Amino acid sequence: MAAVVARQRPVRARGHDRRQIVLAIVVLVLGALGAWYADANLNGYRQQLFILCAIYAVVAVALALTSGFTGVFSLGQIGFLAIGAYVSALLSMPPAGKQPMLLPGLPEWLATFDSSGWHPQAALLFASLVGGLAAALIGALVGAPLMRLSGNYVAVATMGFLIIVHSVAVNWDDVTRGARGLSQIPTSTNPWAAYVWAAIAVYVALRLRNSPYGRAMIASRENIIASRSVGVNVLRTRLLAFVVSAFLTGVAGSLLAHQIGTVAPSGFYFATTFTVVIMVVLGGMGSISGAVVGAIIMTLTPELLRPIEDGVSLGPLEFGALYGLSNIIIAIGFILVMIFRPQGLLGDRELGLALLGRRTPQQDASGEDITITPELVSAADAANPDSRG
Amino acid sequence: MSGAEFGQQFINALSLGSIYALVAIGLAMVFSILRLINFAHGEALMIGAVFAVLFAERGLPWPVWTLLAVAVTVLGGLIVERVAYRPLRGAPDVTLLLTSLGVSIGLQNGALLTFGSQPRAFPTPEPLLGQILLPGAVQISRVNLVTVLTAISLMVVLTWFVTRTQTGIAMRATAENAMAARLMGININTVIVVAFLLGAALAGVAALLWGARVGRVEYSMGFIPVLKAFVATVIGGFGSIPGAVLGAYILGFGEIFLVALLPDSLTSYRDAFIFSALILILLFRPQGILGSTEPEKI
Repeated sequence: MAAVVARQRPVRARGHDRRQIVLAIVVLVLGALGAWYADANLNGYRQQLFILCAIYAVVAVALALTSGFTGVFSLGQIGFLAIGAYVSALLSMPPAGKQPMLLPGLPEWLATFDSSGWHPQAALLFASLVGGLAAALIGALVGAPLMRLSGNYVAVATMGFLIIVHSVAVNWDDVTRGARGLSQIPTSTNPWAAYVWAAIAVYVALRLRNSPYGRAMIASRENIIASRSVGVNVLRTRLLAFVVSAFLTGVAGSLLAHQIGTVAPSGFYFATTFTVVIMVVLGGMGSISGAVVGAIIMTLTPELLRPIEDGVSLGPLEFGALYGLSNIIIAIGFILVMIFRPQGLLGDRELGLALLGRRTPQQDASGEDITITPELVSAADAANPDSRG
Repeated sequence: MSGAEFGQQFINALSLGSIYALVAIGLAMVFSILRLINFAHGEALMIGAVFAVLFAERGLPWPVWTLLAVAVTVLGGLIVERVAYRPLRGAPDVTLLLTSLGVSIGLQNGALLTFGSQPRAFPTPEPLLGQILLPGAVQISRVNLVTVLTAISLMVVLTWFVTRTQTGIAMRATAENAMAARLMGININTVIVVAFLLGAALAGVAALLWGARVGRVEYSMGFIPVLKAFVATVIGGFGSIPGAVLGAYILGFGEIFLVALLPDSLTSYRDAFIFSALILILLFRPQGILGSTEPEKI
């Protein structure tokens, strides 16, 4: 079964494990320092940027899970972001904002549900978990049929899902208030909450990838028939990735809703989809740290380009405000990446391991199938003496 | 629905389907040869309409600006092929798809930057304005009539081209089996360039017809038609040109009559219905009605 693929791991991964743990602790501490610094010292705008980076890191890692690990390219990710955002918003809004006059479609228990007396972070955690679970549930329903498709077909079908979610958000006036969106959501997402969820997302993704399930995902990405012949249940493997990814994205949606305090359908459509896709492709489709790096770059770049957008004069031409310029620069940069470095900045590798100059375990798993024999184990041990814990 | 009303809706659906068909043909042609889902095809439509407005604002007579707009669209299509897609020959399907998304965003924002965010009125030529009264009190707009006639004549020409000319036959051969076509001495690059040229030309014409239909031009206008055209190619079968046309008309009729027949509270969910249908087709008949592409399923 899937364990056959997994058995390769202990052969050479132990030495890495120790380094990985050290590295993970270093990254965690650095991130925590960042969160502390953002929380205590940064002004509002920079603090929001920190939060945004962390939220998009969650979304990008989640997309890397489906698109990078299983090779099922989803364009519907932002649909889950919307579901998480709307569900959590409806939970957290004070009952005054959910009166039947405003939102006649809400069931009574939800309209009267009031978490404003709770500790703000407890209310946020609750709303995020419920939002994430709602997204995961829908992810399971949608994924069960869609994960049978591959390549272009799955991209198109998931895009259809996004359009359906958007259409419902725009038209279901009684619950979503249509294009006007929901407001009065408590703005309780602070740097800590965003950071902790980003760390959880990275941890879950890393653990998943180094587990039998993760190896099955990568095996099915590389070669569906070969992976099936060693007992990988491709549909179940893909579905697992899709549902976990939907959950994390739903949580990110909740964090986003509680950051800006409003949700509207226009924020959850193709522009956002494209941004998140660039994050993952830029970082390297199979790389978790790549997704995080991509998320940070793509969150900060538009902010850095903003001054240019606000107005330049070029010789005789006076441009008041160059709206769209930053997107043009990003689009051109993205096309150049696709042409010259389609594997992204990191490809399948992880940042820490790349810096250490080691191949990740995954590159072996994606190569030829190896049958593990005692000879092979001792040969590997001889080549790598410190690998026996 | 009375008879006259039905007649009106029928022509309306035929006209909408015709525009979708013109856009969908370009998508299907490029897909059949390159396996590229060209999202940026909608931007060809946008460029055509934007330049139509710009040329018309210079005071050119309409036969001139319509031709110029189509010419610019073709030029744009060829440039995009050369700059963005040709370096990616042989890349995985998803890489091509993503690149076309990048091209689409880039062009849209280019238009936002130069043309502005405000929609402008489409300068529909005088002879196209107004209605024609058919027997049986059926009133149809001239725009709809011209749309249907233009689309059908272009499709006849295209059919002649792909079945009777050497280049057209080379295109079909390449779509069938690129490797074998190459071995027969067909220049694949020429074929691809011709596919982009024809696709962009049809999109340019569609741009004029769409502009006349909706009456306004803006930088984001290519998005909806390309999505619909895309659904049409899926209905008909990815990569099949007759399939794309059939799918486009099915979609046109579906859309118009869905709105006419559904209760008011549900009509705004039109797109949700259409894309649910798309997902069902992908699941149960991924090769579409006329397609023969091997479905990629696990």
